[in-house]
Amino acid sequence: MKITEMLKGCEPGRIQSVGYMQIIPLISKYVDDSIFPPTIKASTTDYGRLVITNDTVNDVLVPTGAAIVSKQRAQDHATHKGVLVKANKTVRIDTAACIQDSQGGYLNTDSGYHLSVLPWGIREQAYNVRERQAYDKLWPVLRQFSSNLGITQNQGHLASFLDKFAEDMNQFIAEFEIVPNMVGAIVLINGMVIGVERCPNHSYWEHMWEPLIRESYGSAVFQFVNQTRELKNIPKPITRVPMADATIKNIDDLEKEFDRVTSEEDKIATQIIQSFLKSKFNTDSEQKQGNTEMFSVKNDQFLGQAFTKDGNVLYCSLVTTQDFMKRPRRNVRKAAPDWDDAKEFSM
Amino acid sequence: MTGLTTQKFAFEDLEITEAKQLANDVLALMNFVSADTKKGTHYQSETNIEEARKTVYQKVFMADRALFGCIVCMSGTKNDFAKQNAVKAYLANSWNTATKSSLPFEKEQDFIDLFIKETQVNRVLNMFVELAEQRINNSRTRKAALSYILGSRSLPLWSVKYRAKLQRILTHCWNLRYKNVLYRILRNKSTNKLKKRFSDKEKTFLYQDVLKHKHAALKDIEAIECIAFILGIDGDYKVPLLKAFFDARTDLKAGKNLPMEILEGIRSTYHKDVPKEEVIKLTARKMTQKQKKNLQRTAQKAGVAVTFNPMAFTMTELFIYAYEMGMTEAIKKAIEVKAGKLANTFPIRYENIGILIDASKSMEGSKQQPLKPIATAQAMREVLIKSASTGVIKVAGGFKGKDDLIVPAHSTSLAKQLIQLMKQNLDAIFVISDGYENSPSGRMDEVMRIARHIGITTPVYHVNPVVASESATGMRRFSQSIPVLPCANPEGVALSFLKPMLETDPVNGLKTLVNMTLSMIEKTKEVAA
Repeated sequence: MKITEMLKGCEPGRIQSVGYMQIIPLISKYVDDSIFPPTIKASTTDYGRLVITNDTVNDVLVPTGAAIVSKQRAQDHATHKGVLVKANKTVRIDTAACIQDSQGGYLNTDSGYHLSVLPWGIREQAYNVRERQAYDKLWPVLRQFSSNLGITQNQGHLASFLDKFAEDMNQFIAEFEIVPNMVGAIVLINGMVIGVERCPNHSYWEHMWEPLIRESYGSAVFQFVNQTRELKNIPKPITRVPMADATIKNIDDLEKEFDRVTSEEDKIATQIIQSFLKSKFNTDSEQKQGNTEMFSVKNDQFLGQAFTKDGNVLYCSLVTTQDFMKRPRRNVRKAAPDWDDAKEFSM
Repeated sequence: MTGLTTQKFAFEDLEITEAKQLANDVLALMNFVSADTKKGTHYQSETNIEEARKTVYQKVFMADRALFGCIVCMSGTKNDFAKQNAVKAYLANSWNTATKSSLPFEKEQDFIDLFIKETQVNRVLNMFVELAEQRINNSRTRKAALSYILGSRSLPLWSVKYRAKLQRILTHCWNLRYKNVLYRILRNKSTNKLKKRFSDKEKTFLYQDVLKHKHAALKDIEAIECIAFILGIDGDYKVPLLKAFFDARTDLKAGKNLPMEILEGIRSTYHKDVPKEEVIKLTARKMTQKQKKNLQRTAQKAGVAVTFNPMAFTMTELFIYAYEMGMTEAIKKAIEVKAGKLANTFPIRYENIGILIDASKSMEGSKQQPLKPIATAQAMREVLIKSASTGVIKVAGGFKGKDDLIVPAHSTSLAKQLIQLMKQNLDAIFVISDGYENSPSGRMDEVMRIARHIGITTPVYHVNPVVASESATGMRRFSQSIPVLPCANPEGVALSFLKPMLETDPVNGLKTLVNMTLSMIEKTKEVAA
């Protein structure tokens, strides 16, 4: 499976850039309205055992990295594995993880909860231990994540992060805007791609907008700010082309220069997308139901999940691997020729 | 009250740095007062805004409480929230030797009287309830509350409509002992012969804090019945509304003159089998203009014609209504008339103007105030067009919806259209936007900076309908080269035009603000007289 297949039917929208974060909207008319966002009931029957009940008449897709954050006196839980829950069905996930290390008690379906998505910085570790049955498997990484962000109390609680940065995240999310027919986004930090998200339809994307952009990817901005605090000159994102004011003599020049930088920024966005379009993924089937299938996917740049229906990818959630992030400026490059596309030699 | 000693000062006596600081604080307060509506925005929670508001209000109030009143006064007749805040601040903080004010005490009373008069009844009462909850009970507060409530000709209507609130406020003003004695006196009488049975001692007691304040058009017995009703005493009332309140329990039609929400309360308790629509039918004639506007959809379903007067609403409210119910000729006409009137109040006018409307997704507003920013933007467009001879309008993002109303959508990219407007040799350009830019952020600033550098001098103003608590000035701006004119509703925009003056010449700007206000108050007094 390639990203070209995962994003089939999508077109990139105009890049949105605020501060260190950029979003390239993915716009598509090829949608499947039969898959609904996760309006589910969640409970735990044991630590690390998450029960998801769909008592609606629609099939719902629980997203990759879903985190159930509740006000109950019970352990909040998360699952890296996204799953399809058919109408009026219940799914039990035995590989879920507790995300509240000093809280006992089981979640029950009676109380409400907040649906979040695991912070970007711990998605990879969650992927790596996705098959392990251990409720405490994310505690060390969650504590490290909190500590890095200056959280001193309840570091093993995802809720601590959500509480501490609530106002910052509200302000941050509001700077970006959902555009018509948007079903996903390519997310960048300072010009580096950190994730690719595609949802089955616009309504699903609207539902996931805050859990994903505000919380999961928003946490990456705080991590970036934290890591670069000591640096005197943080480079401007490569997606942001400055206007060359020295060459501008009159208003026509100004308009031309505006058009030039806009076109340049669009080209860079295109190049960013092209740079990873043809990379192939190793896939493992995780859940097959009728004509639908959920895969875990991984290559040297991304890891995550993809969901297909009749062989078409309707959903994917990919984050860039930490290893790839450490490589200098790999995103924008001329796409390497794909040998699979090369025609056989003939005379 | 005269002769109060205070730290009165003149703006000319201020050091330059002090004047600049005061002008900056005034600018921040103007931003808040002009765009703040208590509710959260697309970007900010109510709590965030509340915190920022407190800081900004306090700075100006402590520096000069007269200036504080001037800003609120000039922010438009419909700005109830700012007026409530101002009255609360004045009443809660008595004058003392540390008080700083550039105007005498009597002027402050003028502000209080004007603000209370111009604010909706329910909001004034809410304000007095808040003061009661904060246990603020100085003589000025008591006098203001008692004369407002008991001195109203509408006391019978208010009694049935706001019974619990009035009881809370009056008990606080009178004190519990007075209220208890009053309750015992009234409870022990047969209300149809109240007047005859009062002893002289009781009459004196009643005069002390009830009849002394009553409106001349109300008879003593009517005022006393209202008080008995407010205190929760059931009886054989003669005041028609009070009588209707009790009669409607057995015969719903007897309550046709009651406020709709009161009759609905009675229906849902005593006449559960009667459909809700019956209440709309019975009270259609007596509804307030706001109720008539808000009930259009329900009334349509119920098959009842409820016509409202669009002139009783702000332009922003009319646009919001049009989004929901459609644009009618009457609304169009009202918007046009209002826009014309407002355009005449502009202190600065231009011949040929350009208007750039941000119609990106964020302009659809918050959950608490859906469509407010885009409705305000369209209202401002109408006023600005009326203020000039010719106008060019551009819309960035969004699309045209029903009745040509703009539907917000897409990301925020305004710079291209700004350049195109600059090419048209206009006298001024107005960008109506919440100030949040993402395609990419900072592009407007780049364009403006270069435009000024190459000698383009067209004034560009940023009309902003959204308050931003994260900004020290209370308002998000695109660029230091673009002055912001805060505008929660076009009715208060004239004040915004003072901003450039305050930025460049603080002392004269402050003086102009005070003079404009005083002249406005005098005019209002003349009209009232």
